[in-house]
Amino acid sequence: MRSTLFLGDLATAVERLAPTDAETERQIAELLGVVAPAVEPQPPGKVGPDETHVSDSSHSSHASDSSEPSEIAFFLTRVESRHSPSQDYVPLPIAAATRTVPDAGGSERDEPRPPLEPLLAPLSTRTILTAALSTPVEQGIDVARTIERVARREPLEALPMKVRPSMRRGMQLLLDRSRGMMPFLADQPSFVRAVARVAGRQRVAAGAFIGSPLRGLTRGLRATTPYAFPARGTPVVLLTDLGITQPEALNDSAGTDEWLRFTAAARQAGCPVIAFVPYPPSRWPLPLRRAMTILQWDRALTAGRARRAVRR
Amino acid sequence: MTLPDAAMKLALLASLAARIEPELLRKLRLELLPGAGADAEADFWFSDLVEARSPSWLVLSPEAAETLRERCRAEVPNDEQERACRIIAEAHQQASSLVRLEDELHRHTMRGDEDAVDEILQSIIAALRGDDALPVARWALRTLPRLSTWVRERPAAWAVRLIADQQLGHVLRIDPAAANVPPEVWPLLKGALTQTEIWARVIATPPGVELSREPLLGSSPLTVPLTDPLMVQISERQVIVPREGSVYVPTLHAAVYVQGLDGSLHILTPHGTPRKSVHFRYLLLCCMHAVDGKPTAVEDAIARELEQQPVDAIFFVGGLTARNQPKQFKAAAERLQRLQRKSGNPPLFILPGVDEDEHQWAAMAARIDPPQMRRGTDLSAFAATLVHHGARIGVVGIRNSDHGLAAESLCGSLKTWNAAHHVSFLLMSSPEHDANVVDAFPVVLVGRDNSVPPVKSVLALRLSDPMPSQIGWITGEFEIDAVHTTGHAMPHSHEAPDSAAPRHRFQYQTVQLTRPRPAIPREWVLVAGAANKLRPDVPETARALGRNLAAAGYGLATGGWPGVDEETTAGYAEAFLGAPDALHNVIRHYVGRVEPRASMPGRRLFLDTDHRAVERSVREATAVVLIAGLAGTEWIGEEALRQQRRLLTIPVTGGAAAKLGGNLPLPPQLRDPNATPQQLAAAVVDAIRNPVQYAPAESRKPAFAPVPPRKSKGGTKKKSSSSKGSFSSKRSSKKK
Repeated sequence: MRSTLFLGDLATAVERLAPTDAETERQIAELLGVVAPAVEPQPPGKVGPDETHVSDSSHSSHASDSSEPSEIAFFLTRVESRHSPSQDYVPLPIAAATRTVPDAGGSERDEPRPPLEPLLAPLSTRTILTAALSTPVEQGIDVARTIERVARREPLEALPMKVRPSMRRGMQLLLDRSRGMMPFLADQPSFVRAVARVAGRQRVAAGAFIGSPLRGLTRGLRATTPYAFPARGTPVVLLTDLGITQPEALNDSAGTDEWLRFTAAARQAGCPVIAFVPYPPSRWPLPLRRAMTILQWDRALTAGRARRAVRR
Repeated sequence: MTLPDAAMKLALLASLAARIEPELLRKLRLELLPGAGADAEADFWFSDLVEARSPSWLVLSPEAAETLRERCRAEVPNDEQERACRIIAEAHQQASSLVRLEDELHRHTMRGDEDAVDEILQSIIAALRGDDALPVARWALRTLPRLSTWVRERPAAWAVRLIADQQLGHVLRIDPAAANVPPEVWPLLKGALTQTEIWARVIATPPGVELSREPLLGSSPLTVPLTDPLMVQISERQVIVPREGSVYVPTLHAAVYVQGLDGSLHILTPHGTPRKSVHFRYLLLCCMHAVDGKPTAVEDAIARELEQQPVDAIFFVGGLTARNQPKQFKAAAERLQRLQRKSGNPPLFILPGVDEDEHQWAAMAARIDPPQMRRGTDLSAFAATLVHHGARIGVVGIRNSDHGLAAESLCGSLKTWNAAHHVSFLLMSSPEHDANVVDAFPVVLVGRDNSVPPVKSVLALRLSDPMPSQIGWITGEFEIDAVHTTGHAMPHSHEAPDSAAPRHRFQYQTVQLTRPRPAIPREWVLVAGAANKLRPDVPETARALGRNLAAAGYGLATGGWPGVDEETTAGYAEAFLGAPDALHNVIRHYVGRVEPRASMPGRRLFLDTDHRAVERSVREATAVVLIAGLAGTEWIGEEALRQQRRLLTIPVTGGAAAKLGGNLPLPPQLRDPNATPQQLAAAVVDAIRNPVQYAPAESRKPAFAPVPPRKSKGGTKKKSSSSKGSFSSKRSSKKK
């Protein structure tokens, strides 16, 4: 049975038990079903090197064997000892992937960029992201339902659990770096920061791809690394145009078929797919609407719309 | 490419920016197009309007940018334009000063603010002359093609391009087949161009000049700007000085001038070395009559002036005689020679009065010396050229009350100069003498007294600045004392400048001219038609069309031929009599192998073949209008159809216009044989203004179709070869 314990549970245990060394911490993690982080280099064919958690860089992700989706665990380090309270967020280790392509012009490259108005309404961003990215998780025994079933003398094959929307599962955030997303590349870092503020830095793993994740993850323009899905139940969040743009001569975008293959693999891995797309619904490919949750990445998106789309 | 409405509106607004970043696009969309989605940004980003794109910014193609700005000016309300400009300025607050400068140029272009545009261009010229010129030069050459044609054709923009090119170490490249560098540019280039030396030798018989890059026997060195090809101007003709050997250029008389690109002028005579290169700031142009062989007070004053400050050339305009009397001629000639000697023997050019018989004048002139005192209509063109290139001419005219030789001569001469030059002032004695002169020139000072001014008259006011479009009337008493100099143009107030009246007070009354100076047009209309054997109604129709085009603000383009071209030009020029010097900017003549008449006002664009002249004239025109005509006119019409230009013909004038107009959707008035010339002209201009109503469906261009590539050589050659001869010969033999 897969563990449904998360980082918060591990933190609670460590806080209560107050282990004196790292080895004890690791053993506690093992007891809770959270696999200790791998210290060996990642074997090829697993999570790409660019899939990095939005946390301290020393907390690298863990890759499981090829038959199981990867489990994620962390060394526990007191946050206050690493980061000053005044910092809004930890600098993202994916900076290299989200940096804009350098321009040919020498001095113009160094000019400060104009301020960017975000695609989502700033006042609603938090509620929209909360509604869109939360997944149902079990949180404690549903005592009322348990009593009711016991009173009816019904067998309790499993304890009824309370289900609430939560971000404790974290998410895998995948940034489409295809040329079709060129007008929106500057929006991606701010979106990642917004998600990190809402969900917590440690719960967000970010990576970049060109075309579709099936082609592997990229770091800048370098060679790709094969992509692997996160733990079952962890949502995969895409910032992509789903190949809608497909400008002539810029055809590194993925077509509908490729995206359908990706969603099929995600379904098999037990990961819901949520795509933020900067195009209106009228331009979304019909097959993809059925295969994944698509949200319009623009001012038209509200928390209510996001919630309805995710529940659908 | 057809864009969705929101993306197109976004493109119109963004075209006002020098550089379009995603951030700027977002701000424009959210503030000015609140209903548009993010897809509008992407649609615009990946449209054909964009020449280059990166994640940081995009750059529009020059053609698209200009079209977008034109549409923005026409379709977007002014307040939205202003808001867009404000947003762009805010977004580029931290950008380099050059980016902000380009933004400003676009903004002022939208407002049509010529002064502001010129001011910016002048600041760029100043920067190009400074220490840190290289980055500015690079930026200028990169940016200029993206500016509107209206800006690019301003003299200061020409100067920016030429100086920037030189700053980057390039030899100034000139395309002899392309448009000439406007004369107004030359003063701006002074001191900024690399100089080189050529050698010139004047040949007396037959008159002409030989130019070479190497010394020739009896030649003199001239310093001119280094260009590729090395080009100078002789008697308004551009001449290429070959790398090896020499070139001989025939002239009408032996005293010739050689002009460099920057306006540097060299006067050559057969008897002496060339006078040093000078920039004419003051050229004394005298108009005088003979009064019993006695020197007049004017003459005395002129002589004093010449002694104090020798001039580089003396022009006499007007009759040397009264009623062609040989004695008077001789006396006048002797007085002229006295003046000439007092001034250090500068070349003397004479344009005689209109009523002096040419043959008799020639016989009289043959008896006097020096030989450079010559008569010829090219003298007027010479003087006009000097004026074009920065010379200021003071005209002194004293009129005998018996007859108006001098004044009429002057008027005739000035009109011969295409009525397109700067005359600092014109002093005449009679305000009622010739209303045309008062109407035609920037400033006219008219003596209050209608009698022959005996001792009381203003001789000359030397004005170093361009004159405002005002007429000043001297109304007070004043006394001849000396030539007074003012450092500025006519006073705007009623008070005379102190420097102009050292002893006695002048009283000025200024009258504003009612006719405005024409603005540099944004759209051009090409008019073509019959060159000869015009039906009686055709000249008036062409003139009316010229007047209407001028009134509507269109620029006029022609082939510069007699007939319809000439009549239309004349009608057009009539509309701007108050600003004749500006006709250069609003009338173009595309000249092929055969040079048209020199007497037509307007700028001549010399192209090496007739085909190129036709192709380019049609390409640069918004609409093409045909009036009568034969094969040549038909060719122009077919070229207009080929290039999908708006073609309008006036079928009632017959010929090619009727032939091609048969299948064109035209306003019904143009087919009405009872329509007056004014009605026909009005209908044409109305049709040009309202293309949706009248333009043929098949010729309507898509809003943003890419500029069609030039016709392949095969196509053009086929046309050319099938014509069996040059366009000029064809036009001459068939159409004309």
